[in-house]
Amino acid sequence: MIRLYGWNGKILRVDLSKNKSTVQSYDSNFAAKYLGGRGFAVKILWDELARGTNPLGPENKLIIAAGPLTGLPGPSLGKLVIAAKSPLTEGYGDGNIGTLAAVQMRKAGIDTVVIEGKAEKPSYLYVENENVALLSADGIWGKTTFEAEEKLKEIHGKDVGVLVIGPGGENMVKYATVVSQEGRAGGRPGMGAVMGSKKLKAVVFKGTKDIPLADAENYKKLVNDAYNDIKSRDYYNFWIRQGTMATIEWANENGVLPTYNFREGVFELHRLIDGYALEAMKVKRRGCPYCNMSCGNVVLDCEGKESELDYENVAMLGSNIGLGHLGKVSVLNRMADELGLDTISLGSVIGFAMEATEKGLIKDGIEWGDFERAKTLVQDIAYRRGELGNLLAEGVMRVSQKLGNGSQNWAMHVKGLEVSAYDCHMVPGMALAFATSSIGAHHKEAWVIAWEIKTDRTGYTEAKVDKVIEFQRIRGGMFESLVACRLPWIELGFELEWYPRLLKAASGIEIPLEDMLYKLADRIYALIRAFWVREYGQEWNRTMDYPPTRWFKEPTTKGPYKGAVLDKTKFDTLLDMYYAKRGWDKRGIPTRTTLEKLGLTDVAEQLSKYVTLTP
Amino acid sequence: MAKIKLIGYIAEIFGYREKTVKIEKPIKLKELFQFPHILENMNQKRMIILVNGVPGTPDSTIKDKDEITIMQIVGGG
Repeated sequence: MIRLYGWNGKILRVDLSKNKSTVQSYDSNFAAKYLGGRGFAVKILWDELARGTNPLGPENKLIIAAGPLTGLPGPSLGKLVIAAKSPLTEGYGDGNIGTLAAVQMRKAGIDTVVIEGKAEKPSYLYVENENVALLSADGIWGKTTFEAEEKLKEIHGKDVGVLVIGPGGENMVKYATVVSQEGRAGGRPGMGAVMGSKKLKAVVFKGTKDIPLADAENYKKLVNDAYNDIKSRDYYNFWIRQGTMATIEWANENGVLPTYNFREGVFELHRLIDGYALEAMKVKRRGCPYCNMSCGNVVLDCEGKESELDYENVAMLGSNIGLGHLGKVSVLNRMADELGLDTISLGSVIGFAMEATEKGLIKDGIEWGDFERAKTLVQDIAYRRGELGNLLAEGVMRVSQKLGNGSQNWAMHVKGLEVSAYDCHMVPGMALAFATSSIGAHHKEAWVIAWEIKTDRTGYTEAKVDKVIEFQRIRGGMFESLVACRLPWIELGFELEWYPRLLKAASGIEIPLEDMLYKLADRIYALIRAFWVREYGQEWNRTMDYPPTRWFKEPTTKGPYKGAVLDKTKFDTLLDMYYAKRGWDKRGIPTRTTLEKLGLTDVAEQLSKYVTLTP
Repeated sequence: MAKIKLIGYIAEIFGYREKTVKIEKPIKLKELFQFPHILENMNQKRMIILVNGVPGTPDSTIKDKDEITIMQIVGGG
């Protein structure tokens, strides 16, 4: 076998039911075809999960996947992808997380961990180089993520990398996340619940090996130049001050700040939760390993505790629930991190409950902006306490199915995943991006709002479809598979061409940017889509790719874009164009020709058992 | 009066977030700024200019009662 550089070439497999682990090698062909991170994850899940696998059963597999640059010095490369079949959406689910665990896992000589089965009792996995052990979680099960990580570091040393779940994951809240370093969270579609279902409290990594590099000298020089390039960008200093929180003012100005459960795009109290409000409260910054533009802005919340803020959690736990007080928003955000709940879905669920209370669908519910009740509710959700807490732990899709009375129209999700913090009443391209995102309505894959506003905000044009696909290739394909942070590129303009250069120096393998974007990213998107279609079979149809009904039927009533609403017929035209450009049919299913062209002939064969493929 | 709104980083550069300006006769947008070259020299790819909500440029013609908004491109996290 040819020696790999960059990649360690090792996948650690752990069967919790049997308390057994093995190490599997992979070759350069597999590495180049799927790259890492999301690419590895979806390939493994496609190959190894049977259709209809219970996401919370022992047969589901939890994947922790790095890329060929992960753990190396370099711009924002300290990240991992965590993936599994999602209990929230019943489709493919993943998320990325910036954490020291990424560095330690790779230094332990591992690129990916595949965890299956279910531990006999609450446990955590400890990996130190070749040594793998399933240890008792006595003393940490039931603890918050912050408490559990602290305890694990007392046991194993302060330099270990820790991925941990909180009570939310233990109680299998459908949008429980995996958390690290008191505020880094990943795996929105319930990856924490999958860990909880396996009685797995944490995964702890410690590694002492060098990651093999093809051209160490050149790599070091490139990294040095890359860091300097990032720091030289015009926007750098302002970014360091406000990070993504600058987007609160920006989003409100442009009428896309989610407000009152996405009824509106402007919030009358936005000044009280924006980037300048943050600056007045900020005590420090936190970031991922090897990042020189860290995005985690830490404040002291109303209870005097540290809370790490960014745009998404402040918008969803602030304006979306009518709460115009950053100190209070920070409390809810910190609680979510401690309990291991996704802040975006949590804000959506609470906003939904507030609207349902207003409309009389929930008795003794929660009023808009009610901070004290929201605090109680967050606890109730994490521990599934009481009828309402237990119900809201299921996510807005299931809650709305239970409540009925038209509430499905304002349950803000796509495919079961709650919409990230951008109102789309008047940005049809972004609505398409949410609708076609491969895990449900998440912003990480294509975020096109700024481009839409700069060019043609109201249009339903082919150019918008092209832009959504372009960004999905870059963000959802390349970055998620390299497992590199997209922020240097999207926020500061750091050029994409850096990444193939870094990859070449690290691995010795030259993958041109075009190949990463067109072949590799398209292959990964087609495979993820195949995963979804396999699950749904003949029931799969294009309505799975529709944004929430509210954006079509309920115009906004405030702000400069008052009266804005999406046009359903025109949106369908966008969707048709999107499918055609992707080589998918009118149902949104990749054609046999497309799959074969992307090197997925075997996938076409299997998929054709469940749906009729268009030639 | 024309209204100028500067958002985030752009407000930091020019030192104000909002002001109104009397427009006697139509002029180019960049001429509303004390140092027009700053606006021109900024990375236009990473800036959005809206005149009455419609995309504009430093050379857009501004009339009285127009509303101008200038902001940096953000990446959406």
